[in-house]
This record gives sequence, structure tokens and C-alpha cells, in this order.
Amino acid sequence: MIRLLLKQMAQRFLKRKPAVICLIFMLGVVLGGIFAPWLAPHDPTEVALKFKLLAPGGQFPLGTDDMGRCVFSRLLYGTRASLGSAFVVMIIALMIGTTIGTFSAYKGGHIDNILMRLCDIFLSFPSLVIVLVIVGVLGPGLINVMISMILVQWLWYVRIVRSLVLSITSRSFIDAAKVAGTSDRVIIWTHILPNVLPQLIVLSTIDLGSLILHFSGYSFLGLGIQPPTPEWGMMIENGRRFIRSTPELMYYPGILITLVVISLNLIGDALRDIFDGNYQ
Amino acid sequence: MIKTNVMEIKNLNVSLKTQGRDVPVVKNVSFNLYEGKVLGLIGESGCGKSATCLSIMGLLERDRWNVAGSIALNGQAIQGYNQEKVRRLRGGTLSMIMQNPIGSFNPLITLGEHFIETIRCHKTVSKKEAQQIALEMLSKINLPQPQKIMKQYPFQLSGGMLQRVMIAIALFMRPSVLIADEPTTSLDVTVQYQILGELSQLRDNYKTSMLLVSHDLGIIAQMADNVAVMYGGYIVEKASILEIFHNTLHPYTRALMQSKPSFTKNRLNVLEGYPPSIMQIKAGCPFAERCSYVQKDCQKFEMSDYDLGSHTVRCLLYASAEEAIPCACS
Amino acid sequence: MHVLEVKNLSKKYAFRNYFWRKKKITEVVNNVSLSIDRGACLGLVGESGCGKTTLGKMIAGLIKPNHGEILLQGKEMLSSSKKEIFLLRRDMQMVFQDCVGSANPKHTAGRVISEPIKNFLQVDKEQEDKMIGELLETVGLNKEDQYKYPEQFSGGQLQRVCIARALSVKPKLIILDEPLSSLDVSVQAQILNLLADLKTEFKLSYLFISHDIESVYYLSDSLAIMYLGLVVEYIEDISLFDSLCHPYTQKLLSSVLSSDPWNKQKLTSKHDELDPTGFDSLGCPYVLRCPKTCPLCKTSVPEMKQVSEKHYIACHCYELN
Repeated sequence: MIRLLLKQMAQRFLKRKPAVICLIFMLGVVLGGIFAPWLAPHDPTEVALKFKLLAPGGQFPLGTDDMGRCVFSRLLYGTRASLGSAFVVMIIALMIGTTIGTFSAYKGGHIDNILMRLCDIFLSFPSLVIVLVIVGVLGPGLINVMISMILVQWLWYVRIVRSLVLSITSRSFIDAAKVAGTSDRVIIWTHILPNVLPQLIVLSTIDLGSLILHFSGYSFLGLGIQPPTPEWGMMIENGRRFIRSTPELMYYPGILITLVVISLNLIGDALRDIFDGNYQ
Repeated sequence: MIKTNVMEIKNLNVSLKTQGRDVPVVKNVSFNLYEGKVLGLIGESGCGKSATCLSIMGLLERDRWNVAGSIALNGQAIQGYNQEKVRRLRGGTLSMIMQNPIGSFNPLITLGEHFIETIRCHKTVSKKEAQQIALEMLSKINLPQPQKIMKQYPFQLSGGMLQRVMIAIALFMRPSVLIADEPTTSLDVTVQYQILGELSQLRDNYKTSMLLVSHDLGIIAQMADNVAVMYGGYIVEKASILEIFHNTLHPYTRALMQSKPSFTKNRLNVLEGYPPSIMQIKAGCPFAERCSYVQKDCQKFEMSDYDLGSHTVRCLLYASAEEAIPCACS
Repeated sequence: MHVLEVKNLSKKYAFRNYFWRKKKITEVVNNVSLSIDRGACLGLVGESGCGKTTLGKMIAGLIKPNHGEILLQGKEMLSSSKKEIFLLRRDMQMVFQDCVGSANPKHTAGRVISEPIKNFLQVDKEQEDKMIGELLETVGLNKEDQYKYPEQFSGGQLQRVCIARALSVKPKLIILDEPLSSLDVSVQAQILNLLADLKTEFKLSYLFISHDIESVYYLSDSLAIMYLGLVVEYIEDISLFDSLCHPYTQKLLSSVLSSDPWNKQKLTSKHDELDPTGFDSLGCPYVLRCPKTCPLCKTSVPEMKQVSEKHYIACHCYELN
């Protein structure tokens, strides 16, 4: 039955052409990042000033930057930092948020009140300020930006998960499970989380896009990953200096970020429709 | 006594446009509404009661629903009117009371504003005059402190009070036809009693003809003058109230009457099975699979209405063999 | 021995309109005492907001009462340890009003039914499957239906699944919280008959909560009428039905529409509705709507008095009639 359900869902997903194209594109990007060492024609950090600012073609498919580094290779390797770290941030924030949100909503009462007021306090600071403060204290770097982004992000997930869980706990099958003698732990695992999960997947898919944007933004500001490690946001920042002579240096990472974010949004929308739909 | 025919509905067909095919919801429904009389429409969920009401009111979106057939109001055909003309009719000569009073009001504006809005849609009056009319209407529906109610928001009133306000709004233009779609389903019994009292009083005062939709035989027995029983999109039986309770013909109507508990401990005569889903389209009588009088022809032949004088019934039991038409869709 | 005995059960909610105002205390259930015998059905009738669902949920252990006692087969539930309550729960199951919402949409019917079995009985997979099949057939469904999801059932079928779940651990008492109100008329009769059959077959006791006094009469052996948290009238034998005499009960009974067109009732449109804001908890809750009141009604809540054997009423003015 589960297999049939998955099959039906896959069929419905396949009916949405734009989402399928986006999914293929995303798979390509992810695989490109994973297999970068085999796919990249050059070492992304290899400096060769004699090849600097070359036009696309020949041994450099997308040309080179101001230090003679292969742009194509840097984009491939940059996937790891940009996509990978955004993904890790999302997963960790989602896990923390889901745990606390579910706990808070299910327990209710004073615990719920205290946790929510704590969230309110954190949420009353703009996220950029928190990131700047934390990076300022810990120093710039990939891990530090990730930590600060998790600290900002989990609050939102607590809020969202809490409201989702509340809407489930008001349904009578939760009462029915309690009457049937099911323990709280089992109720959360078998009744609440499976019903919350579809919405969470949709939400986090769309959120991943905005996280990538944020991440690139912080790198652009020089807070995130440090050179020479390639990252899309930082590549834009690098290219900024040559905006008059070789604007392509900004175009490539910029277009890539845009496409990835759009793809994630479209995939998220498609998933939402699929999960919302009936089984018929 | 001559009955004045106010509304005439002939061969009304409503179908829902879905991917691939049209799903018929209301099939060949015909009935008349007479002045000062109540037609009770009984049926279970999914039998097409609400679709019938909404199609009469012209409230079905045209890009999702197909409506065919003729609807005549005071001798004038209104089916096929353009949106603007239908809108003028609504709330004027044709009014409706919805099932869910709380959902039928905009929670953000006061009841007074609801009133004034409706009044000014139909009459060119100033706001002050509209307010006067509204107060007058409210004082007629037996609610305490009409002044206060004008200033209140929908959530401040109970469901029963809102239903009364809705009746007042529906009736201010003295409509010739009032459609009440399960007006008391969401209310408590004691309040239901009062709302029905309100409706019957207004019918007597204004000679409004009423289409009262319900699934409750008690409401129909107390309120209606004529009854139409719907099942699977068809009207399966149609007669005057006494005729239908005294001389029940259609097996479904009979089963429906027997399955209602009424202060007895005797075992209920149960109708097995479930009402059909609108998505299933089967040849022949929609009731055949639950019917205890089913014959082998029931699922083969398209039924037609058999007129027995005071009674119209759609059942093969009352047809002579040559009247039955072979089903077209088998 | 009574299967269930409820003594002086109360539930209060305190809330305030504004932060600086004094808290307003609403007694949702006020000093309710009831009992149900083995194999009997107690009907609990009242309008929406009268606290009947809260009472049902308190007995099922879903809401904690403020005070009072709930004795299930002579054992006190509220002061028992968690372990004991768990064991007691096996004897008491519940069927909910909203049949669509009371089955997890992600679980098959089989899994829905097996939930209490998994919790209370130690049986292996094979035996569990056999039990599910038998239960489905008991409630008038097919064995194969256990692989279907809730969406694939109609309302009546789903309510049957929920009844099967309640039956699965062979409880002594089933709380039926408006089990008919979301169903079609013809299906309501089916479910009523099914409940009546199960009652005799398994010697079940029911607490049948409903607003429909006619179906309650059909199934019940005793009857309690509730109004704003208070049981206003209680008969231990349904044959005393004709002697019900509380003004509210009479109002309720006269509001039931007869499905007999020869017996036209005089419908009145006089406004007479429960106004929860106008009620202060000092006196009898029905005082504002009651046609006959005495000075005492406004100052003290009436206590349950015995009128005759098996007939109790909470009304100050009873003797005046």
C-alpha cells in the first residue's frame, strides 16, 4: 500500500513538467558538487596569473578569474560550500526546531508559554544583527557562520512546528490514541510527526533556497568562507571588481544561485500540491 | 383554492466539470413553487440538494459547473441570465438562507453594515434610510434590542440569533421565493424550533413561497406543504405532504421514514448500504443496490417519472412494462 | 455492581476578558453524579455547550477534573497510579463524534483497529490479523477493508471502523460521544442498530452522549438531562420517560419535531436562547429561561432530589408544580 502511494505521488510529480526539469537540474548540481574532483578540469585553487581573465573556451570552459583560476571548476567546488553548508544548517535547525516545537506544543501549559516567550525574545532581533554579533565574537569562517545561522533559523522552525503540531493535536485521533492506551512517546512518533512531516518537507525545501541566498550574502560580505576556498557568494564578490571589463565573472555564480533558488521553490510548490492532494 | 405558481423548474441538469468528464449531480429535476407554500426537499448528503439550490440562485461558477434546463420566476425564464441580471434578482425577488450562519457573515463588519449593504444594493436610499429599514426588519424577527444588534459583530451573536438576522436580511425585499438550505442543521433543537417558527410566521405574513431543504423528516413534516424526495441526483418521489406520509410509494422514502427513531424501543428497520457517491455513474435506478424491492430490470432501464395523479414517483414498481425505456448509457 | 460510578465530578475553567480584570470562573461540569450498570446504557442529553462532551472526556481520562471521583468497576481512577490507570483504561473505550478526524489519515483501517490491541494485549502478528478480521466482520465490514485508508471509507463505514477499534480489547464500557451526528439519516439507523446488537452480544455498557433525544431513547436504559454543567434530571429507568418533569426537559421534549404531518405542532418564534454571558454561577443555571421560578432559584444551585424511586430532579420549584 505504501509502495502504491509512493508510486501515485511520483506519478503526480512527473505530471508537473517545470518541477521535473528543476529536479533534474538540482540533481545535476548536487552530483556536480559531489563528483567535483573528477569533473573539474582544474584545481579550483590553483593560481596561474598567466591565464588571468581568459574568455570562455579551450581548456577553461567558462574562462578564468583574475588569479587565473578556472571558473567552471570553482563553481563545481563551490556547490559543496554553498549548497552543502546551507543543507547542513537547515537539517540541524530543523531537528532542533522540530524537537522543541513538538515538545512545547504537546506539553502545553507553562512549558509552552516559557519556550514561546524565549522564542519571542530571540525573534525580536533582526537576524543579520545576530549573525554579525556572533561572527564578530567568534571571528569569520564557515563554521562560525553556520553556527550563527542555525541559532537564527531554529526559532522559526520551533514556531512553525509548534503550530503544525497544535493543529494535529486538536484532531480527535490523538484523543482516540490516548484512550487506546498509547503512550505519549508513541503518539508523537506515529501520530503527530508523520502528519506534520509532509508540510515540513515542503517548507524546508523552499527554505533551503533562502538559506543559500543568505549564505551567499554573508560570503559576499566576507563573513563566511575564507579564500581561497571557492563559494558562489564570494565569487560574486570577487567578480565585482571587474564588473566593467569582465562582467561574466559575476554572471555565472549569480545565475547559478538564481536557478538553484527558483528550482527549490518550484520543487517545494510541487511537493505541497502532492502532499495536499487526495489519494484519488 | 387556486395555487399561484411562482417558480417553475423544468428538467434542471447540473453537472460538475472535472478532468476528462462531466459528473452529473442533479438530473432532470422539475418542480414548482406555489405562493405561500413550502416545498420540502429531503435527501441525504451528496444527493444534489445543495447543487439544486445554488443553481437556482445562479451561484454556481460557470467555468466549473454546467447548468441546463429552464428556471422560470413569475413566468420569466431566468436560466441563462447574465451575471448582472442574476445578481439583481438575488436578494430581491429571490433570496436564500444558508446552512452555516456563522460562515455566512463577514466577521469584520457589523451586522448593521451587512444590512445596509444589502438594502442599498436593491434600493436607492440614503444610509440613514437604510438604517431605518434595517431596524424595522430586525424588530420583526423577535430579537431583543435590535439597536444593539445593529452595532454588533457576527461573533458576538449565537448561531440561532445570526440565523434570525440572516432571515431578516433575506426577507427585507419581500422576496417571492425563499430558498432555505438546511437552515437549522447547525443549531440546537430548542433553537431550531424557534427558527422554524420564525420561518412559518413569515411565510404566513408575506405569502413567500419557500424551498426548504432538509434531511430531517420532522422538519419537513411540520413545515412543508409539498415534498420532493431526492436520491442520487433525481427527484424520486414528489407529492403533497399528507399524500407522501400517508401513501408512501417509493421504497427509498419508505425506508427513510422507517429508519428514524421516534420514542420507541422497537428495532429500527434499517436501510443497508450507503448513499451513492456522485462520482459513480451507473445505469438504471441509483437506489437499486439498496432497494428491497429490486427487480432485475431496475439496473437496466433508465427510470422515468410515473405520474399517478396526485403523486409522481420514479420507480419501476409503478410502471407498466411498455413505459420503461431501455437505458441509453448501458 | 456498577460498571461506572461518577461522584460529584466538577470541572471549572477560569479565564478573564482583560488582563487586569478578575478571573471569571465557569463551571463546565458541576457536581455530576451518575452510575451505569453492567450491560446498560446511560443516555446523556443536552444542547451544545452544556458540558456533556467534557464530562465524557473526563471519564475517559482525557481531561483532568477539578474534583470528584470516577469509579470504574469499583476502582477509583483519579487517585490510582499511572500503571493502574493504564490497566483500567482497557475496560473503557471511546467513540468520537467526528469519525473522519478520529482515525489517523496516514494509517490503514487495520492499523487503526490494532492500536489498542498492541497496547493492551500481548498477541503475535498472526493472531492480531485474525482479530482485526473478526472485528471488521462484527461491525459489518469486510476483512479486506483493513488495507484501506480512512479516506476510502464513507462516514458510516469509518464510524464502524472506530467502533471496531473500541471493541478490540473487549471493554466493559464504551463512551459514545455523539457517534451519529456526522452521519446520514439512513446510516444513523444502521449504526444505532449495530450499537444495540453489540450491547446485547458483548454485554457492553454505554455512556451515550447525544443531543438527539429520540435516538437516545432508542438505545438507553437510563437517562440524564444536562443543562450548563448541571444534570437537571435523571431517571434510572427509561420506562419513567413519560414522567420527566423538569422545565428544561419539557422544553427539550416539546422542541422535538414529530414526523407526523397530521400532528402539526404550534411553532413559536419567541426568542429563548442560552446566553452564556448573562449567567452568573450563583443560582440555578436555567433560571433565565425558566417559565416558573421562585426566589430561591436566583440564589442557590438546586440539589438533586429524589422524586420517586429511580427518578431524580434538580429543581427548586418541583414541589410547586
